Amino acid sequence: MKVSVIVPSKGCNYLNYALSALRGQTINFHETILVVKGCNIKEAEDLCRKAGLSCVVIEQRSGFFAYALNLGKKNTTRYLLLLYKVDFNQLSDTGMTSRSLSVNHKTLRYNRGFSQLVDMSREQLLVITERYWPEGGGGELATHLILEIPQKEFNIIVLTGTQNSTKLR
Amino acid sequence: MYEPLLAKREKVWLWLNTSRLASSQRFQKMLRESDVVYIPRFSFPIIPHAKKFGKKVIVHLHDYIPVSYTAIVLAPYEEHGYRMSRDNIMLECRQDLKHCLGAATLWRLPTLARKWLTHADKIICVSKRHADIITAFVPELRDKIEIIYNPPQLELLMEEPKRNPDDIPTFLYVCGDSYIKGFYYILHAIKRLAEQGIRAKLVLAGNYGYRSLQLIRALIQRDNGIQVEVRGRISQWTLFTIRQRVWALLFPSLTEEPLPYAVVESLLLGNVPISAAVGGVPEIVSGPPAEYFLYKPGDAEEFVGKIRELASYTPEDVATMGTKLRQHALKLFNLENIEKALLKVLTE
Repeated sequence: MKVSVIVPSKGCNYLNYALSALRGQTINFHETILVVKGCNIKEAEDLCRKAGLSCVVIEQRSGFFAYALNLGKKNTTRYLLLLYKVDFNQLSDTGMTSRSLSVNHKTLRYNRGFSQLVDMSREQLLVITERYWPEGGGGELATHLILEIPQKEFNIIVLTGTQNSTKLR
Repeated sequence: MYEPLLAKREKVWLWLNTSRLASSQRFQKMLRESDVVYIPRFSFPIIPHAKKFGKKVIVHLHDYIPVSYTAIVLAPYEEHGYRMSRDNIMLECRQDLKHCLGAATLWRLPTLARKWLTHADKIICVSKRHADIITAFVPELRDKIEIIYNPPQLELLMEEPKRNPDDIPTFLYVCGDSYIKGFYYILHAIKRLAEQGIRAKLVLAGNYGYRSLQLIRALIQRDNGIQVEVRGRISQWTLFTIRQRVWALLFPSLTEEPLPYAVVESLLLGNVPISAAVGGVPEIVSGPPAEYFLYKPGDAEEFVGKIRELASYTPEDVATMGTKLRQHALKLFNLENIEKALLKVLTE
């Protein structure tokens, strides 16, 4: 299977983390399309070269995220598309490292509308519990404290029979 | 997200409702969009449905539901294991006729839980003893079990507690008038300590019914050296403030507690736990000085003896012991190790 990856980015300072993460994936990408906005194109090309990736760097002059994706999609050779839905400005805020991005490689969400399009984003953790803190005792408190741990790695959805349950921080 | 189908607390109704939820379209859509399903309580009927969608399922056990109808195992399990069903019926019949009839007819319900659990990818137990008891009864789960301690509250780890033990030996009991948590051992201790002329103060937190309060009142009405302060159900932060001045936590539980938070918090706040050696307690209260204050489960006289012994210490001795206990607990409940182990299970 040949895979093209589109990386829309406004945060060129963090691009090297994403590129080294891409390099560390278990499959080889056929092509990497970098759609950059407000970045030095030459610098982005250098980073690609350093990471040993075959990149196409496109400068985005207008529009937002979806426009960047469409721009990237137009320039691929139409293999299976992989989107890095991570804003690299947020990357530093969330504390995600290139390693956790590699872990997230497992998450390829096939978009039903576009069978050849997959979206690479955080994994989803579905929690099903009849009781949640502050209802109950030690087990419920433990569950609440435990769920505060994987918040960086997962989107967490808690389904519970407790009304007015404590929200995750 | 509130889900009314999970609002029932009785196991039979909960499991019937959870099965209904699992078959609903909206839930199946949620399942499809999820990568990992995490079940920390009893909603086990979801497991086979999640597996049908090829999802990873992690079950986090905080009790003994796969082996016991009441989700508890009386201590020591080596003596109670073979008669667990009888124990469960006896415990439920202590409550009322409805519970008694329920237990007498549905005592085989854990078999169903075991069947669902065999489909899970990983099962997290909270202490070694907890895992040992589960695997002793359900050996087929052995390869799926991981042992991870529950994380303590961040505030307890970060902030150095203020320790200011009272001049008079002060003991804290937090479990209310629950029979299985050892309320009657507390009553016995009050009576025996008063008979022996020991000066001490007991702070009782948790829920106490009218009859229990009458029993306490009857014991303290006699003019003796024991003072009892019933605080009832109080917030955690009030409890932490009380813990600054108490000498020890009394934890005379009759069950194999997997990893009681009361004891974990007492270690982190520097209160000596005078506890029955049940469940995960000996595992976390290992080594001097705290290990000395564990006693054989069910031995009420040994329990009184340990209280008497601690009451003979000075407040300074108690404060020194508290510092050692906290250091020990900080090593044991290293948040980084707990996080690493948990993320490994979730992402592997």
